[in-house]
Amino acid sequence: MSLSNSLPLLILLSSLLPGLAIFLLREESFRLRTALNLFGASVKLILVGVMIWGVFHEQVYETRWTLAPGLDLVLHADALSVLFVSLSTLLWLVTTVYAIGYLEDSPHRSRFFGFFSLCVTATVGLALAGNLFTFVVFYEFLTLATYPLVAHKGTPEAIRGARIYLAYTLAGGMALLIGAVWLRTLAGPLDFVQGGILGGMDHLDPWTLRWIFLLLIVGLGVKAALVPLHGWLPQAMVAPAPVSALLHAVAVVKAGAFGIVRVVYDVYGVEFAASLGVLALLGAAAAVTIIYGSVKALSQDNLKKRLAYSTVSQVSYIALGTAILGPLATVGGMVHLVHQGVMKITLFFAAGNYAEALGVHRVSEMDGVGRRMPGTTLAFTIGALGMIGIPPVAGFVSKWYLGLGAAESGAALWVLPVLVGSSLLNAAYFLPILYRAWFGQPPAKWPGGHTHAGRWEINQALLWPPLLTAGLALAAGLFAAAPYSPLEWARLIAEREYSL
Amino acid sequence: MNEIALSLVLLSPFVAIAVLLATSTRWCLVLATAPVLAAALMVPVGSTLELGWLLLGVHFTLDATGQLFLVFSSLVWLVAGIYAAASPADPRARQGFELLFLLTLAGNLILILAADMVTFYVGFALMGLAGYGMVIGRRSQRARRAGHIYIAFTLVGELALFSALLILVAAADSRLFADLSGITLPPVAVGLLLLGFGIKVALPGLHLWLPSAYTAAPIVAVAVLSGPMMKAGLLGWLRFLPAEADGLMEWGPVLMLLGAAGLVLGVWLGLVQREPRAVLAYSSIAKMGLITALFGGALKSPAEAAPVAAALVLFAMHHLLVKSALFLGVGEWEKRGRARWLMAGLGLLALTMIGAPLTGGALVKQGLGTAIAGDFGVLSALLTLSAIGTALLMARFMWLLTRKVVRPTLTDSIPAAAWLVLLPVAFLGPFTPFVITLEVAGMLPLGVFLLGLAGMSWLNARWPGLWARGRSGDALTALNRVLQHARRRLPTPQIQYGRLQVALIRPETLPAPQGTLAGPGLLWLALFLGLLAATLLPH
Amino acid sequence: MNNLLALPVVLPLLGSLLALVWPRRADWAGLGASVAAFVAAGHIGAEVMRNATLELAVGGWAPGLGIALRADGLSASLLLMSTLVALAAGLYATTYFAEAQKRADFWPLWLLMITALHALLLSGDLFNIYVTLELLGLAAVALAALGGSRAALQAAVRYLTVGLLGSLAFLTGVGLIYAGYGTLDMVMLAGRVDAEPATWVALALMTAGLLIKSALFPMHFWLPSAHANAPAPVSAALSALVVKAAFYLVLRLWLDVFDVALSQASAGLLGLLGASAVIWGSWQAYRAERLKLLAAYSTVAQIGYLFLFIPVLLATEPGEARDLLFGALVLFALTHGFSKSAFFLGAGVILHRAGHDRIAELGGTSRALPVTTFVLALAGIALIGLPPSGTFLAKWQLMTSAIAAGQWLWIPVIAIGTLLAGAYVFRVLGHAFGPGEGVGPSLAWARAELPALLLALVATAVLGLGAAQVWTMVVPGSNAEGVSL
Repeated sequence: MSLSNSLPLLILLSSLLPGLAIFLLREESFRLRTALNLFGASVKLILVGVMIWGVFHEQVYETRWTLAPGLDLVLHADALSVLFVSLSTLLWLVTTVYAIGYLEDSPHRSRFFGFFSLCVTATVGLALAGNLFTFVVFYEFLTLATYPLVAHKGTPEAIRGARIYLAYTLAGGMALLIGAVWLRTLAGPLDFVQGGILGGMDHLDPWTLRWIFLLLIVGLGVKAALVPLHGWLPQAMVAPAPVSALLHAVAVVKAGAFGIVRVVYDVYGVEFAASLGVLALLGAAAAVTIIYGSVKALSQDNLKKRLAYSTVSQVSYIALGTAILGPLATVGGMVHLVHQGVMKITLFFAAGNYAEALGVHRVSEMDGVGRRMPGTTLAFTIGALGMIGIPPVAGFVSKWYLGLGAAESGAALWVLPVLVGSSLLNAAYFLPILYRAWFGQPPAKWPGGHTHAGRWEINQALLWPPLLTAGLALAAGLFAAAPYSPLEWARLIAEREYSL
Repeated sequence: MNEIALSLVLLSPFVAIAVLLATSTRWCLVLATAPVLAAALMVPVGSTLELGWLLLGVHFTLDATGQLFLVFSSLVWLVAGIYAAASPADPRARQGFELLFLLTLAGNLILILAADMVTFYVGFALMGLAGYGMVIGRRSQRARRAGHIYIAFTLVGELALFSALLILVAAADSRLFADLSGITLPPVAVGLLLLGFGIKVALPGLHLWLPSAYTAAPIVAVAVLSGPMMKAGLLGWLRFLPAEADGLMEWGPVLMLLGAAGLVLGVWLGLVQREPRAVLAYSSIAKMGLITALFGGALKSPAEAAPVAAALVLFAMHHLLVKSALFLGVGEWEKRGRARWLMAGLGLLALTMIGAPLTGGALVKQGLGTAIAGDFGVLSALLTLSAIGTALLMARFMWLLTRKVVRPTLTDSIPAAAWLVLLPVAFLGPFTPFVITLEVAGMLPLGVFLLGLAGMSWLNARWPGLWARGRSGDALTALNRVLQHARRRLPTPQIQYGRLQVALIRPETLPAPQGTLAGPGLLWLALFLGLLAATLLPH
Repeated sequence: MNNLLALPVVLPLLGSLLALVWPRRADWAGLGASVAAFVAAGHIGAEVMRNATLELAVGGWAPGLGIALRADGLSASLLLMSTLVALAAGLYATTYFAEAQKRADFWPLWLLMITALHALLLSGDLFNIYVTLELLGLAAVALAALGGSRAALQAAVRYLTVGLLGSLAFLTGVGLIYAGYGTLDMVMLAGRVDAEPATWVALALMTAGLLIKSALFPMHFWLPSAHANAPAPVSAALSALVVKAAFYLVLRLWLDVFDVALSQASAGLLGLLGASAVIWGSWQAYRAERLKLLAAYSTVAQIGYLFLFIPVLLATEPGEARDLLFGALVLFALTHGFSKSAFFLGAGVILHRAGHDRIAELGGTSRALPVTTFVLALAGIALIGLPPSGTFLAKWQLMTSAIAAGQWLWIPVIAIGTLLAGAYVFRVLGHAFGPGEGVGPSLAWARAELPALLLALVATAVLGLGAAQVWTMVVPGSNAEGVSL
């Protein structure tokens, strides 16, 4: 097997094998577990680096395994998959470090890290999926891998939250499966091809295709938290902070959004989808979600719940970018995939830090945290400003491209008020937090948490990840026009998509 | 070489921030502003700086307008910086104030030098948001409320600007200001620009944030707010609405109307204020109203736009200097009371503000008058009206200064010294060619001023306490009261969301077989018959 | 090498005799026979992959008079599965039955059941099938009664009664066929059978009889109590193998022998019953309070899935598409065999440790037995039909063919069944996540837990990733690589 055949598989194995091995470790083998984790993550990072270089130079990487006659499991690297894979890999590494610090002395760490690795394997498999069948396989696998993480704490609320999560995602998976099977019977093997394959098939009835699209979007929309399928997300906040960070920035929600991008661009083809009229539906759903999520976030006092609703709102930007015809909006949607991931993970890391060090779970308890934990709050501030869309943090760049795409395509001008309204709402629920944190009076005694004995405000493994990701968010915005930035990569994808 | 100079200008606030974080010295404020002033005076007009890899690709340039803005703004920033550095530290504010001061300065510099729309927006957003920190500097209850109103308005303005930006970039297919001249500006975009910059410039209706901010913020913040930051709005209009673009002529009358309204509003409300700061605030509103109207006039007749715009810029610069100087002086007054040199200095500033003869103000007024001499009848009337109104306002201002009793606190002399150095510059600026004329037009405001002073003293003697009364705050407080009233009346909606109920599980024991087999037996028979029938049917 | 075909029948029979004669060495006899049978089945499977069908006329007597044994892809794969399941369950049984006396009772019956099963799978004519079916039923009843409790005995008696009814119906049908066509050899019959009233009645009789034995809704009523009250290894065999044998027979009769006499309506009837079984079985499993009862109802549902394949198979034109679907059917049957037996074996371990199998109170036990919980999880994944189990591929194929054939009704049925299965499996697994310290990975009881683990891994990993081999075996002449629909 040459490198081009085996690289995708190797990337998958680099987290699968350490994960399986970690399951077999005892609770006390802290060093071995950490070593396995970091080793796997680093190897994966290197392999992904090789893949990025290769895809940039139009090298083809594909692994194909026949499961049944006519059903192939295909792992294929194109520009879009590389975007998502690199995001997942990088953030996995950072989250692993964070989780090691967060779960110090907690029970069931081996189980946690085992499923953690499986979760990343599923995400990477999803990203590298080369046809709809493979995508569905890894999509369901992701559900399986994430359930134990949500239920990790084992409290009744955790089990309940996990159950709700499962109900939603299994139902969504079923819808996706039915849609995929239906499409398969009509159109044959659904390999992802840039520009879409359905456009060229004239024998397909448009109404059937519309219904299939609806099914697929419903199935994907559960994970992507499109309203009204988003109900699991706030409930899943019972998970420990590293899980919320990874799930809501990288794995689950992005998987759904990524799936939507794939379906629209590489199965239907964006121009064909526009001609079918399904993009309008998607756009409307995305817009409703954006506004609804932000409105709900306003009324939440629990910090993680507020961030959850913010995620609901922000991930739909990706769907919105997909729904507008035109390369600029495409760029905006796809680059937001990366930007939102980095910014959101920063926010969740910070929220985890507040809970861990100070026992602060609610916004109303956050007065003066900036003084007590300046590093964490700085990271939080950068993330929040990015969410609002304030330059030069990365969020501005995605909003810019989305807005420009909307302005250029005359039909989608209604997107502008949605963008503006959403930014205002974001400001309304983030700025008060920032105000409290920096300008509020700290209480005499914090609600709880473990005080950290040491020079820094908190365990270093918990401090550097948010600062790193905040720095990345800032750099992604500041150097957006530099080569190898996420923006340039998104432009590359759009170029390859629209030239066909 | 020029590029390096420009980059140094832009970098100096950030270098100062680094110094601040490292050493916590407040003199970093001067470190930031002094080089900027020097550069502003020395860098030749027409220098450009392009960084393709930064953000979405940034372009900076120093053109004639930009140079004027840069010179005068940086002067104000410098003095404000010295003022802030030398004043006793507010124990509660700590480093936050200095940090945000520098960030606001950075934003201001970026937007002045920006040659493309996105960079301008970045600077504008930075300046507006960091300004919040300056507004709430003392963290008093009043300052915080003022800060909230300020941030709300600023955000709305910034988002309006953002939307306008998108539309303009889409229409012009380029982010550079230079490319805006060749296209027709979409009306939606122009409207949004008016909204966005109008908030900064405090057009009537959009001005509600200004009085509370100017009265509650620390004096350094107010000086900067009323000077460079307010004029940034004007710069925005100048940049985004170039005279050569199409589609602007219809907006001329709109702006003139709004400007006139602002002028009247400012004068009217300013006269009844009881705090000196508030009077100055409304005076700013009035002045910016005048400037808006003049700008509208320029838009209406693009052919004669150029000289009007030039004169307008000089006028605005003059106002920038004088207003900031006035506020800084008021700052001194709040600390020292009615020191004679202070009152004299303030009086001089008032004189140049109203355009008394032999002052710089008179010169700019003359320049304006000449420029609009054509067929701008309405504008000339407005100019006269403004002269009278300003005079009255300044009279009220001076009078309040003399009437209110202030307890002197121990103060540093450095701020005062800095202010005194600024004084002649403000008095005589902006240094247009010096022509001494004693025009009748120049005497009018002076006369009104003196009359006003006299009149107020007399009225006060007649009805003691009457003129010391007044109001502060304005429509916003009233609006707030109405809203609170309404909120108490309306019921809050309660929405219950259904939940995904997991079915209850009833306990069931391990079943032992019960009952006879009769039922199943019959069922089986039915099954057999059904199968038979199904097989038979098609045949 | 066709004598090979006799081995899977002869070896367990010998073993059972040995176990009867030497009770103290019963374990060795039994396990030895199981291993040998497994090896033989492996060889048969390999041969079938090469040559498509194996035949053996026992004693040299030509078919029609003598006993013919035949192995094609379908029977070879099922044979392989049953030997492996029997081996694992037998291994587990040596730990499950603590007293030697119980084991001495167990092994002969068990091996007899295995003999009958293998003979059934390899039989080439209807009479042999009847005989082996009876033997299988009797052995199964006896094994089910081994549980010893009153409920177990009552369940076993009911199973016996109902099974006898089924066998009698089957026999009547066989008699009618013989009267009509003069032969009972299936290959010869396939050539002679016509669509006429006698055939229809016979087919209906035989099918109805087999439906009881395979516990298709509404003839499933005897299964939950019988399987739940039986000892764990026996439940595994009953659910995984015995009911599967009856279904295998339905397939044989419908697809190979009586295909001309069929109609879409009858297939549709079976399909409807299967759909009801899926929904009813899954719902009851969801509501069950005890682990083994849950597993038993799950079997009812999974059998329903198997019957769902039939109308779709018949609606698809013979050719590549039908072969694909057939392979999927076999894959489903195989996966269910492995996963259900793994589930029962795991449930047995838990029952032993906790003294009960009430689901709501299993938290501590599942945490103390991480490997068994893992087994339940893997088996559960296969029962739900999530990747990477073979069931996922089979369901995908079923849905594809159903849509292609225009039979839309089955899609929501499959969807609901899958979701309910998800609900009841995760109800069990959720208890593994309670608060409190875990024990880390440890094999509490290697001999008991490992067989289950092996079976579960086959169901979820091997059959999932290596599924292409199933098609190679089942569909003659197909090469899985490069074939596209």
